[in-house]
Amino acid sequence: MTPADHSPRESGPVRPRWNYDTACALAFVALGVVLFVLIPYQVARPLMMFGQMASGLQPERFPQVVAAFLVGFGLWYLWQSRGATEASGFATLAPGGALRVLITLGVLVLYALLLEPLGFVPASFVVAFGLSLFLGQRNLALGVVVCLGVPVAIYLLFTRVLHVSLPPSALLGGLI
Amino acid sequence: MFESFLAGAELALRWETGLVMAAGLFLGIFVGALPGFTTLMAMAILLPLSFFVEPLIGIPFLIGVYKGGIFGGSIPAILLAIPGTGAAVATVLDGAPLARKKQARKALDVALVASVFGDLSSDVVTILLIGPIALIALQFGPPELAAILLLSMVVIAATSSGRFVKGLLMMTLGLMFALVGLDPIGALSRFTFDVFALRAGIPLLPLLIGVYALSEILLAIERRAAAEVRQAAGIREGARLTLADLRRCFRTIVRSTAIGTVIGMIPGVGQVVAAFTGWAAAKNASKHPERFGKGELEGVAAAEAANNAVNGPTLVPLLTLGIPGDNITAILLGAFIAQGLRPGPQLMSEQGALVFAILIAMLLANVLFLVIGYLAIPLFAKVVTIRRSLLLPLTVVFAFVGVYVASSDPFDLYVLVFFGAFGYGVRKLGFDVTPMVMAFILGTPLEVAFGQTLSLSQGDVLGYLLSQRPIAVTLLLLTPVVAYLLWRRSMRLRRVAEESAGKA
Repeated sequence: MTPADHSPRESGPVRPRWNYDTACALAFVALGVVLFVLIPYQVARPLMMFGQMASGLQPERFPQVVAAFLVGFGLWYLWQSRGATEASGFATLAPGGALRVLITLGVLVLYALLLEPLGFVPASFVVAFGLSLFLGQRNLALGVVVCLGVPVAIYLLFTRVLHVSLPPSALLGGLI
Repeated sequence: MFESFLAGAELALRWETGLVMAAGLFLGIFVGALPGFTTLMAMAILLPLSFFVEPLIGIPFLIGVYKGGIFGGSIPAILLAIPGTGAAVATVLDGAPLARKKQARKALDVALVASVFGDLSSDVVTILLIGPIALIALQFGPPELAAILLLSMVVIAATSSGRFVKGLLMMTLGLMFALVGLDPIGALSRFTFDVFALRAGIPLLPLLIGVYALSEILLAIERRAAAEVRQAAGIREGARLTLADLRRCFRTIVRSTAIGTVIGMIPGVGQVVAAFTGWAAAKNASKHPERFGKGELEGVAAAEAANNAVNGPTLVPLLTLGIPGDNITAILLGAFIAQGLRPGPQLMSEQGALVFAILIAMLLANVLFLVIGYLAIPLFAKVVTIRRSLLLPLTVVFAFVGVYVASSDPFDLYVLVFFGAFGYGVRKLGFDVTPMVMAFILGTPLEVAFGQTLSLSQGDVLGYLLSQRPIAVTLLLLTPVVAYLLWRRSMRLRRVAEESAGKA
């Protein structure tokens, strides 16, 4: 269901026992154990009536089942990882790819932080124009027009036509 | 049921519904034609738009995007040998060689006709079947519902890309995410870590847009797909589709339509499996199987008819049981819920006219589909070469807008970024996100159904099921069998695809 070119690739003969599949399997097992340990602290206790709990499914039961499945399937995956041949997609990253992704994620977090304080149009323009330059857009005039025009159009569509609020900015007296 | 159908027909025949479906189709074909932009992404981002209009405007709009997108993926598949959507992978096998032989326009024409025929026929079947299936679904109680939900999730895990155990692990991860918030039976807080915003649980919309849209953008940025502007095959030269060509492909189109219709009704299987099954069946039935994979028009027709024939029937499990059959219907489920409609056994009896109106609107959309597709193919052929350096940042803006307008809560934006990063990471590690999304959506209803079954059984679940719920027992026994058979089939089809791609 996901595009094949982002998936790990066949790397030929069986790899050493310690491989990325093993690490993932152990991570899932650990996650299941952590989930199980957290249940008493993170699942509220049901009300007791006359010294008895209400009948039916207790709130911790389903989390316990999920934790058990994480551990069980994790161990099955650990077993299968011994014969796995696929290489991790991270092993075949495009040159500079990791840095590009990390920078983009940083920009996205910044966008989330600045959307309300700055306003939708300025924040979106800064992010869209910055990202477009980062991705190789060299026609600056076109970049400015598109990266400013589209957020303005979106702002007007939502606020004036659909009557849904988006954070206003101080530009043009709060008009956009 | 017939009265609901007539009432639905009256509701559907409005010019506003036709207009939004046309807009949705146009947008869908546009997005489907852009390599690297998926229909799923478009639907996830456009989903919030449907919240602010009535159901007969919002839901047909999304369905239009869906239908258009599935066909739109065939455009770059034929012109660039890059499938615009996962469903168009099988179209590349014969579509790209046809383009190299300067028959791109003929290939696009047959893709359009096959898509419309497949879609239209399967919509008729959906309308005929949905009433009886809804009546059967009304007989289901909590044990049957729990069994079907479990079966659906396991089937989706079995047919996901990658190893079966990885699909199961993602499914379990989805169940884990669904635990956050208030438990659905006693409304007791679980795994909120004292974060107030988490008491309502992890919001669905940012999760959907994050894993399906934002992660795709991160993948494109990693590969510097923004810089890619490929040379597309021209469509001006070369012959158009003739009646003789169409007659030759007719039997193939009908066969593939039947295959896609059946596959569409099974949760979790979807367009990709349908397209390859249709293609493989056409090759097996052909007098010249050696031509397939080298530019055989019937190959394009088979793949496109099958993958579009999935569109209608895939709504059957969604509307009758509330189970989304794939990631696209998971988004449609979001649209229904936002409109205050809960798909499931009661929907047909409570809102039958509306359901039929939506299905009839889908039927009418196929006529629009044919007209828009035919007139706009030359325009969409140019779309494939638009630079990503502008489209990708704007898609980010659309994603943020979509999430923000749904709740006006900045917390949801952080959830969006988290799941974007999460989706990127797990896909690089070879995990399919779809089982996780399905389990997240179905986890709460599963827990409720399981809890109700426990209450009904009064402590003796096994005895209760064996003595009073034979359907539930049958479904539970079928689950591992069906999962195994589907997993084997998807492995075989993947091998067929890899061998054919290697030879092409």
